Amino acid sequence: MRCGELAVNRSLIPAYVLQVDQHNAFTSNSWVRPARRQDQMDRLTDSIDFQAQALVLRSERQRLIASNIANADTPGYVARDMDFAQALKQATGAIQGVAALAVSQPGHIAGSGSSAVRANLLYATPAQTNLDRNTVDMDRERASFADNAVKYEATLRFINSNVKTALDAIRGGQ
Amino acid sequence: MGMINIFNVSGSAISAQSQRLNVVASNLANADTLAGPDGQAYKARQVTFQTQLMGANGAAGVTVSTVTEDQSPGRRVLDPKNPVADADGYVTYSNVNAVEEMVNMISASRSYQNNVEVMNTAKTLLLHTLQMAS
Repeated sequence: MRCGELAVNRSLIPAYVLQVDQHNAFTSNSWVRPARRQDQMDRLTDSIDFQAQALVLRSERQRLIASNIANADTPGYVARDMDFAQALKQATGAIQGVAALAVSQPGHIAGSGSSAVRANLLYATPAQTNLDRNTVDMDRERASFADNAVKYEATLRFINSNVKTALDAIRGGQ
Repeated sequence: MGMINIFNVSGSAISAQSQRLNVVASNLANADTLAGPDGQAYKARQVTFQTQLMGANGAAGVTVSTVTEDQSPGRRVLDPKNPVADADGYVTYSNVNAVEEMVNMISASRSYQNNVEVMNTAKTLLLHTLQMAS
């Protein structure tokens, strides 16, 4: 019961009740308001969270492509890449990933679950066959590497400007 | 930390490629070596690369698994005046093919450069990440 709801008959309420009620109002304020603030903070940080997920995936992809470039001369190496859009959807919870394996018996091997990255790893299709069965196409890898680096930087800038926006909102434009 | 691993991956590739360059250099240096008194000339060497898994999720570095010697016979040249010529007047040179070695060298140096550039890009990105929101 809050003071505001009893405004009509306030004159009839004994002083000590009002006092208790005010106290309650104070505590209830500190209970209710933070929840509302949390909502606003969520809205402030929602896009930062999203960009953070994207940044993690970008860095994972960067590492994948670096592995491909490193193994350009390794016989039998199979180039890998990830479906970025799918991985991002899975990481942000827009779609459900493959369920992890349940371990119900002592002999069961714990599945590592499905990280968004590993679930979306794909094999590159070689444009030209190679004598040593290596499927790294250096031109493509270099292009993807540069592309991914630029998009990583872009995501970083989005995060930076989101943080600036949030800080501006907190400072109230001062 | 995904990106820190790039330094390990590219670093292993750079080390493997420099080992390959080293082998090419020693092959080229010995291209005109004659067989010694034991009749054994220098044999061309080749490195074999192998993928080396680094960490759990898919980072793959490179390591030199073996250095093999080319067992093909060396070049034999008729030169009876040479002090190391055999009974028939032939001397045996090493079996190094200079053209193959040059191609190998170019390929190794290109791969080396590629990996250096990958590292540089990763470094730039990481530095920018460190300055995030500042």
